Amino acid sequence: MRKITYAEAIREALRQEMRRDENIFLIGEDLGIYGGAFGVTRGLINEFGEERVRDTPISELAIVGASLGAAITGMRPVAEIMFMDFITLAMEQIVNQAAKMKYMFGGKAKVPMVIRTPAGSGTGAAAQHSQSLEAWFTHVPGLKVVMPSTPYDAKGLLISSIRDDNPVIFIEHKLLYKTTGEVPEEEYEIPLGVADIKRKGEDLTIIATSIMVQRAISASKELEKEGISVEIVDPRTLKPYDKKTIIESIKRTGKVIIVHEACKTGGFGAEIAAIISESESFDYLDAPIRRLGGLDIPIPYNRNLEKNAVPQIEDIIKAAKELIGK
Amino acid sequence: MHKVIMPKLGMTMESGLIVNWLKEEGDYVKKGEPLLDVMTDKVTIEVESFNTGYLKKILAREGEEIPVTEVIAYIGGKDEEVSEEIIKGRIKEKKEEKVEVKAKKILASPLAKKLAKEMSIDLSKISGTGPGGRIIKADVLKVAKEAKLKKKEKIEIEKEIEEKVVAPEILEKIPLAGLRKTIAERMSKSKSEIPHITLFIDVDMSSSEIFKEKINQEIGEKKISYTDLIIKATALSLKKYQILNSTLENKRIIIFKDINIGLAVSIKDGLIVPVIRNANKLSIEEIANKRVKLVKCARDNKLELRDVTGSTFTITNLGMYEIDYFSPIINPPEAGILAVGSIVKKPAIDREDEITVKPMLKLGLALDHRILDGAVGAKFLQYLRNILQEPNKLV
Repeated sequence: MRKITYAEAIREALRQEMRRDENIFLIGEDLGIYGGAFGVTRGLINEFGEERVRDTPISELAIVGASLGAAITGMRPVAEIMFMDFITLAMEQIVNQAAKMKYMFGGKAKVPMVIRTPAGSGTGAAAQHSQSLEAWFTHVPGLKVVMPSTPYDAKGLLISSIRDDNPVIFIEHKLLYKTTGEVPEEEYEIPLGVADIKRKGEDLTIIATSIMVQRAISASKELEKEGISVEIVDPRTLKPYDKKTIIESIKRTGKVIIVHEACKTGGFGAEIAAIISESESFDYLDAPIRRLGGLDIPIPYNRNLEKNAVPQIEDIIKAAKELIGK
Repeated sequence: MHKVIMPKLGMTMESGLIVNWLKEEGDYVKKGEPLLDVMTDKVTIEVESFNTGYLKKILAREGEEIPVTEVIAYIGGKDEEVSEEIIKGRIKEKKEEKVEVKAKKILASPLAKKLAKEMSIDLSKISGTGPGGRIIKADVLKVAKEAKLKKKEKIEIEKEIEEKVVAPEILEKIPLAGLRKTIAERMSKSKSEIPHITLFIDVDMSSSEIFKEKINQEIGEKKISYTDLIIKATALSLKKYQILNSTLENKRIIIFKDINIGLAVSIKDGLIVPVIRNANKLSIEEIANKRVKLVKCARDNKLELRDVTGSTFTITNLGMYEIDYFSPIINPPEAGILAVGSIVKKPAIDREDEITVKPMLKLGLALDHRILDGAVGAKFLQYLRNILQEPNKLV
């Protein structure tokens, strides 16, 4: 099958959906002629024009507010927040307005809106351009939170997110944009709330999100050489959340490591750990649940420190060996 | 200052018991001189001193069990002082050890616990190989595997032994099931839990014989048996001595108002006890009717649950098999049981000291000694005998 990058897969999903439904439009900073800070929307303005690929002033509040207004009046906006860090400026519109509307109008209002935004460190962009803030949004009823880890998932999940009638926070990762993978040319949907087993294994389950899925896969290849068979589960969407796949995996392996880039304290890993403890999989745990997350510090600018602030392949290998007792 | 430690006197020795110090604190001791007696695996060994000097301080006294290599005393020069820290350290160590033992919790993963429970494995007997000594799945599975092997071995050894000792040849193996199992369980329970006391008494059945014949003539058939008379007489005696019509339950003696006589009936597969309710209120004829019906039902296997429940006292009769007398086992949870032997013509001495031949019956009464004592039982038996010797009282 054809291989394309994560960024290309997202662009393809946007293009195909925009061709299918003229109510879909893009809105954000430097999306048009510049093609977005990471080039994801490059070229789309040529096909769809300025009306449907709209550059905005530097106001995240306005981007989301305008999108919300458009969404409840029948359009299907796909907004882009250039860096996830800036989403703080649009929190009122997301948390108090977009998430609540369907409920407060008794289901009569629909908010078919996607907010795409790149998260994560690794580009030397320092503390205000490197955060992973997904846990905040999982805490707000009314929002869906999606975190693809591969080009294939990115395309299928974005198409499903655009077709969903609820506000979706679609979290991309800066370091994943250039990764490649097999992606079908035609349109396809990946349902929200279905986890994916990225690798089958027997000794240990690693639950990883976003870039950590790729690192877990690299780690598992190393671990395999030492006879440790790792199963990797990618929740893909944090909300809705696929408990069943995770629980079943743990029932098979009895050991689990949860890895995410976001700070460990209050990170979504804590929620996963709690879900495991509360479920029937508790009785199948043969070791304590292990979490790997970012340090509780602002992401440093210094490249070495930046790398050390979030879990790396070696960290996953080390934790796995400790858990297995090798 | 030299340390005296608990020596390892055998390959498997983990600790030793100090039997006796052969030297006192302050005594001069030479290298190679016997210092103390230590008992290990029931063998007492004389431990010699490794050093020459004065026994300055004994840390572990007679009767103490000390792990090997632990310091038990100090030997030093005449003027050397044993520091307070050494003594305190030893006391502190001991205290800590105790706390540790008390607070020792079995560390096991949830999966290990689940498996152990399923396989009935005692986690306290497993040493864990997980972090911090935690018992993990692999440890439980290992023990389970070993246990399985051991069991297999044991069976093989048993088989071998069986072959060697030339066990008697088996004709048949009958599983303990159904009624047989119930009887086995109930009788074991009775014999192991109830302290039995058994009393015997001889009864002259001459009057009862006449009485029985008279009634049978009146009703025109041979319906009434001695058993019926005994049932009725027993019921009346229980009415008089109510403590025998009771049960012990949760540290309380419960005395029943209803006098329900259970009658042990031998059937094909064992024994069953149908019940004649309120026997004290029934006439002899009514008792006979009930008995005949119940015995028939019992032999035809047609008894219903209500026919066999609620008895408060049981009568068991082996008289028809020419058994003189026997010592019965109480039918739990009852307080007593009456054993009836055969009525045999025997020489008896009457009131005029004349030897005459009389139909004699021997009754055996087993009682729960927790509930009552022999004297009450004796009175009950006397009373019962008197009724049977003057059966007009039965009407």
